[in-house]
Amino acid sequence: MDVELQINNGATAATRFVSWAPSPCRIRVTNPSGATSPTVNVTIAGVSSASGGVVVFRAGATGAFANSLTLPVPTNGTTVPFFVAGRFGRPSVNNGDVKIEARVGATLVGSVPLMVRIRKNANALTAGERDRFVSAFAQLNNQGLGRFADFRNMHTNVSSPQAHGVPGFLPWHRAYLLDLERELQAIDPSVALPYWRFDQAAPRIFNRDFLGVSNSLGTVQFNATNPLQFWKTDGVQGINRRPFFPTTSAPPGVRTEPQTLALGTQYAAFQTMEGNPHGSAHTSFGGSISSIGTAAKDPLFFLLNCNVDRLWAKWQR
Amino acid sequence: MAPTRKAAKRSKQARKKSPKKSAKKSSSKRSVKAESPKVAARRAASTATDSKGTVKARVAAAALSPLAVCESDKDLQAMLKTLRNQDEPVKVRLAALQAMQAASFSVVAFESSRGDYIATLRAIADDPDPELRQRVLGILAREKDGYAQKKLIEGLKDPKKALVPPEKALQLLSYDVHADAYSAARDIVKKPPDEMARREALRLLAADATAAPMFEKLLRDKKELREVRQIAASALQALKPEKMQQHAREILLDKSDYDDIKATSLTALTQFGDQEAIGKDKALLKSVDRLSAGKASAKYRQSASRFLGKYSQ
Repeated sequence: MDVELQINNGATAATRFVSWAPSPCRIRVTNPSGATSPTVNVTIAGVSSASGGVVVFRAGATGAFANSLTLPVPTNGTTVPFFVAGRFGRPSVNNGDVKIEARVGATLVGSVPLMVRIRKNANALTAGERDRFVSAFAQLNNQGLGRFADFRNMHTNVSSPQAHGVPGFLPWHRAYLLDLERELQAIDPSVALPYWRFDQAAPRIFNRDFLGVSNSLGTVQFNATNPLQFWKTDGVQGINRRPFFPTTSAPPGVRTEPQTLALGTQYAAFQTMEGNPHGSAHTSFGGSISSIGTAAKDPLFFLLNCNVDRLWAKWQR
Repeated sequence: MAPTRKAAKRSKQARKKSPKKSAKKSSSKRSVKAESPKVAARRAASTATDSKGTVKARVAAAALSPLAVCESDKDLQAMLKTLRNQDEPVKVRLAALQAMQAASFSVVAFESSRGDYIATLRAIADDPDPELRQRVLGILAREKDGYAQKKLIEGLKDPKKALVPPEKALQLLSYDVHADAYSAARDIVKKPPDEMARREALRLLAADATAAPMFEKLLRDKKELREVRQIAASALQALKPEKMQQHAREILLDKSDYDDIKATSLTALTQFGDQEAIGKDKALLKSVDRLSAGKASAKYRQSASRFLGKYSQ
C-alpha cells in the first residue's frame, strides 16, 4: 500500500513549507494493494534530524496539536484532511530536515520531506542559513539589473506619502517585505527574510561574511567569499553605511521591544513606533539607510523592517 | 544647591505643562507608562532643547522626541534652533540632527517642515564641526540637493574650499552621479591624494562604461591592493560581465594568483556564471577542485565546494 501526503494541499516540492500557523494538508491512498477493508488507519508522525524542524498535527481546524495523528483513510483514493504546523521553538535549518512518515501498523506507506520555514533572528542564523540568504539576495539584485530593482524603486520619496507617516505604514511595509521574501524564495525556497533585533547587539550581522563591516568612511566591506561584494544599486557600486553605535558590542539607543509593545493598545498609539524605534534605528547610521529615498539600497533595510513587522505581529497577538 | 534648584524649577515647569501627571509622584515609572507617546515626546523635545540641561540628558531626550517634532511647530523650531546654534554642545546638535532625520521618516506629518529643515541643513553645511558637516552633507546628498552637490564638486576641484575630505565627497556624490563627478573622479584616480580617495574614485567610476579597460587592468595586476582588485572585479562584472567571467576563469587557472582574488573570482562565477559553459569547462573545474582540497583557508575551500556543487554535475 502507498499513500500520498499533500502539504498545503499540494503534492509538489514547492508546497512543502510550513510555519507556526497550521497548514491545511491531505492524505490519500494511491496504491490500495493489500488493503482488506474500505478504510485503513494511517498514523502520521514527524521524524526530525538532530537540529531539524519539528512538526505537530491535528485532525481539524481547531483543537490541540499532537506529535502524531491516526486517521481513517478510505482505500478508494478519497482524500482526508488534516493540519500540520511547526512546533514553536523548533524551526528547520535546512530544507527537508524534517519528514512526515505515514505508517499502517509498523509498515511505512508514505513519506514526505518538508521544512519548518520561519523568519529568524539574523544574529542567530547558522552559517549555511546566512550564506543561502546572502546568495539569494545577491542573485535577486543581480548587480542592479535583477528583480530587486523594482523593490528599490518602490521605496522612494515618490511613494513615501503612502508608506510613511500614515496609518498604512505598517501594512504597506508588511506587504512589501512579503513580496520580497517570495522573490527570494523563488531563487532559494529554503530562505526566509531574517530580522535585525535593533534593541540587541548583533555582532554576527555586522561582519564581513554577512552584511559587512563599515570602514571609517562608511563604505561597507565584505569577505571575498561574500556575493554582496558585487552589490550595486542605481548604477553605483557598494553600500554606504556608517554606524553611530558600536555594532559588535551594543545596539543603537532605540526603544526596546517591551517599551515598543507597551506604547498602547490602540493602533494610533502603537503606530508611533514609526518614529522610535523604527526611524531611530534608521538614523542610528549615516549612509543610504538613514534617508527614505535611499534606504532600500542597503540590504540591512529589509532586516530592520522585518523586525518592525515582527513587533507589529507580536503587538497584534 | 544651584543644580537642585534648577532641577526643581524644571520639574515645576513640567508639572505645569502636564498637571495630571504631577500627582503621580510615588512612581516615576508608572507616570511614564501612563503618559501617551505624544505627551512623552513633547516632554522629551522640551528637555532636548533646554540649554540648561546636561548634555547626557539632552542627548537621551532628543532620541525620544521625533514624534514631537512632527506634531508641534514650536518643538520643530526649537530643535532647528538647537541644531543651528554653534554655542550648543556638538553632541546635542548631533542628537538634534538625528531626531530631525528620524522625524523626516514620518513624511506626511513632516512635509510642512521639510523646507525649514533643508534650509537649516544648507545653512550649517559649512559648520566648523567636521562630524556635523559630514552628516549634514550626507543627508543633503541623499536628497540629491543641488546646493550640496555644487559644494562637494567645488571642494574636489579646489581643496581650499573642501567641506569634507575628497573620499567623502566622492562617496556622497555617488548618490546622484553627474558628468562633473566622473571628471573629478578620473582626476583623483590619476593623481590620488591618498589611497582611500583613490578607492572611492574607482567605486564611483564603476558606473562609467568607458572605465572598463582600466578595471580589467587593475583586476589582473597582482601588485595592486586586494580591495582595489575586488572593486575592479565588481565593476567589471557590472560593466562587461563576459569580460569578468573570462578574467575570473584565468585567475582561477593561474596558480600564482592570490587565494582571496581567486575567491572573489569564484564568487563571481558561482553567482553570475554561465551554467552551461562552466559545466563543460574541465580545466576550470579541475582547478577549483584543487582549491577545494588544497591549503587555502576553510572559507575559500567551502566557496570552492559551493561552486563545484553548482557546476560539477
